[in-house]
Amino acid sequence: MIQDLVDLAIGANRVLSYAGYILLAGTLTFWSVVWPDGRRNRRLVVLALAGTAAMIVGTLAGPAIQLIFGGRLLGDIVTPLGGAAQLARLAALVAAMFFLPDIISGAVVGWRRIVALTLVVVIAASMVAQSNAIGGAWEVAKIAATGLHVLATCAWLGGLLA
Amino acid sequence: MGKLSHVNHPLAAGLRRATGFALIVGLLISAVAFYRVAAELPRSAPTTASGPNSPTVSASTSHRPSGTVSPKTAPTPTQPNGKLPNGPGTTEPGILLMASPLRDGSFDIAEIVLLTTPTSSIRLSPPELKRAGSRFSKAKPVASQLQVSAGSQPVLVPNGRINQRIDLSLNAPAKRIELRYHLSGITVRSMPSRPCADCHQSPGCWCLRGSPGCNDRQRKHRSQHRVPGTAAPRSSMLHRTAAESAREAKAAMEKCSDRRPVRPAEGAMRYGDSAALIVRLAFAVRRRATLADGRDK
Repeated sequence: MIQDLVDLAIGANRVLSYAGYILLAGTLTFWSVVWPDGRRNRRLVVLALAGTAAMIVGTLAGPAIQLIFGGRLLGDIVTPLGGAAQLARLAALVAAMFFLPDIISGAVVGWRRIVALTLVVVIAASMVAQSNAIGGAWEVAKIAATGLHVLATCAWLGGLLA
Repeated sequence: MGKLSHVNHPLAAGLRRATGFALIVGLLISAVAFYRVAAELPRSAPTTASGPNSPTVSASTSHRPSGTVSPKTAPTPTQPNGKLPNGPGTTEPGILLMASPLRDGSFDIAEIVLLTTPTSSIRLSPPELKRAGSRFSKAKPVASQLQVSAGSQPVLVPNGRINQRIDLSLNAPAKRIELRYHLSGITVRSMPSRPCADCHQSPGCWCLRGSPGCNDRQRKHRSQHRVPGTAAPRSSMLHRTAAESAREAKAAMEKCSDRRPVRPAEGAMRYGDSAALIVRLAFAVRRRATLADGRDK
């Protein structure tokens, strides 16, 4: 019973993380590529901040659920690359949260566009590093496919939401 | 958003940026540190555990490389498991042992014991390594993170640690017993010899004068370098210059030319720029002596 709840919580946390990624990365991509002046739109800012918060919660809650309620050890939960990717993603999310006012203080072009797209790529890369694409046969192809899939998702769904 | 950004307030913006920058740097440093030490993190036994209260056994000993793993519930012992091999411990009385070596020399071990008749107590003790030889006489095996289940019931192990013999009473007689633990202190490492700090050569190597990349102090040291417990190197062969070698070879040839028509062997060492030692053995034939010898015959 407890294990079922833990599995359910992990699944929900995963959904939360992906939703946050779509909101944050999609909004940043939308600003950078489609509508640089959309920074003045308060709804988009709220979407980006909500996505950032959701991703931070999802990133921290994933291992915490398994540690506290799953009775597992840290070495079982995270691999070296996966744990480092999670911390790097947290760094990117902190950058998005603390420097978002600077990014949207002007039109998202020039260095602002570069910073925004860099954040999107870093977050996407951290998600790829945690995925099943790492290891096994056809690793390069899987990494490329997963990376493109994640980026396309944020551009498509994020653009739709924005 | 104007209130949110604080872009126009220099102090607040500076404080926000400094805080954000400090957090980013700290997280990135943590990421690098985690990547380096993650291999040493504590792990459970190689079998996939679904929780401490439901010890299970699986034949799969590999951990998924992905960080976003969704823990798959391992099959319980009562369920048919196609991954476990048939034989002792699974289909007939005996022990099935699965060991996974770790980088630090320890092992993650899972055991399945299948008895012919149910038992109400088991005795656990660390292995006797003295049988492996005298090198293991000082080894102190310790089983930690021990999880035991008898039948389908977990068995409480004090501290989850075994470093001496202990008897455990089972809640109910059982024929099938499963153990998962981390076994350490059972390996003896053979460390390679360390190179000499002065000449960067190991004690067993030849110490040659004039090797590339050595200064006067190292040359002097190398000439004094001795392998402990062995005789000194032959100075006549290894510690001589090319001129000395040629002169000695010529004298030796003249001395024995009337007895041996063929020069036995001459070692000439040359050091190339690629730091590879090229040993050229030149077997020179004294044609004149051979011809003369042939004419004599």
